[in-house]
Amino acid sequence: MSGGDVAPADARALVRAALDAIGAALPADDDAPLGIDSFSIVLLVEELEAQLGRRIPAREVRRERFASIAAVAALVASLKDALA
Amino acid sequence: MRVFRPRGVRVLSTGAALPAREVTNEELAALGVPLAPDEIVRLSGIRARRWAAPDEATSDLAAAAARQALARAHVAPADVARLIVATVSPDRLSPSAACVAHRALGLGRAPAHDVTASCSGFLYALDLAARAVATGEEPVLAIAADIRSRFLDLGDRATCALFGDGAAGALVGGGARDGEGLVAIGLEADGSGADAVYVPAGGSREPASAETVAARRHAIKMAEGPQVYMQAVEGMLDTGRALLDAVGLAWSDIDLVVPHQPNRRILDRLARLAGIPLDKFIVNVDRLGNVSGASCALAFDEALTTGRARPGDRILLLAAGAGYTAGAALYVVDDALTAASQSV
Repeated sequence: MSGGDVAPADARALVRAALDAIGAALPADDDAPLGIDSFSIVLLVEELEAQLGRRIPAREVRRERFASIAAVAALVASLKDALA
Repeated sequence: MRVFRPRGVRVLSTGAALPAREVTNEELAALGVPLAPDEIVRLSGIRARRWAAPDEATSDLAAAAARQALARAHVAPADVARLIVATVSPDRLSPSAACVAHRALGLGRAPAHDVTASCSGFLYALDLAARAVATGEEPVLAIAADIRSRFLDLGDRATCALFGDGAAGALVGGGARDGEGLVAIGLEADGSGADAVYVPAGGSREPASAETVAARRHAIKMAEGPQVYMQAVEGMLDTGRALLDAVGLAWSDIDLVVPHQPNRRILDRLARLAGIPLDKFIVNVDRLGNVSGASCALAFDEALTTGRARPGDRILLLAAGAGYTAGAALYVVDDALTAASQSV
């Protein structure tokens, strides 16, 4: 899942900030593989939750949704849409 | 979630049994697992776990835990009305581990059966035991026992360091005073998680063969570790909240949380989201690892035998596991249980 243009720019910025906060290396571009391990996915989820102020449902925490910055941003955008 | 509020049901005693062999992270590393000892601690908080001896089977541990519970309550095996063993690692596919333990214990003609609910096993067994007692059948042994070390792929980073072996449980009977004993219990399952944590081969869908053995298809698989992690928290949090709502209590009314012990990080997150300090939790995952269905029962036994659980305390037992399954129970400790727990 690439995310494409689904995720607004602010969602991508939020994901980059969250990756930076957990000490993960930022990939070359938003569609490049994140390459983070399972524990880093958990840390990223918790960091995103802190920034979003809401819990990310377990059913959304699938590896494909953490494949790239664009993919994670699409998840974040969908959660924001759900809140709207 | 439907919440069962039994009248007069109490735990007469608990019992526990752990294999003698402790396996530290350093020993695991020496066995060639793809994780360094400090990495295991960072990922899971686990420093050691117990592994059964080659000649030890799940029913042996279940019987040992049951013997301790019977001794503490001064109940003879012949007086047991039913034996329930929660396990996902029975001695054999057939018959039940409960029947093998039944023979070892000498339970006469009392019915015996297994229940399969993975890491929620103890609460599923406790629920069944409470329903049996509520309909006049007592006392009932509700034991959770697992030897998951037999189902490990030591080359799999996701699972190689997590699991330990052990058994624990409760002898359940009647006579609880109002407001004491098992106040409420509720269970849930969500089959959408049926392939989240599983042992692929050895059953009717993928019978054992030379190929399944060569492909390590008899070992525990967990492809979506982060989702399982989050689901474990969500299962315990949501069933706990639903149970508390049903009885008109809040998290802050709980004196002691006795959770399943999948991973220390999961317990940290659970405590944070529930708004309960971790010092109100029984935590043994650092010493025992994830003992599957027995984890919650081992923690319950530890709460009682160490004096952490005192008369009048409101204990919230929580569990979540593969399936997905989850459950919560509210237990109010009485004097007789704390006395029994210190007796043997």
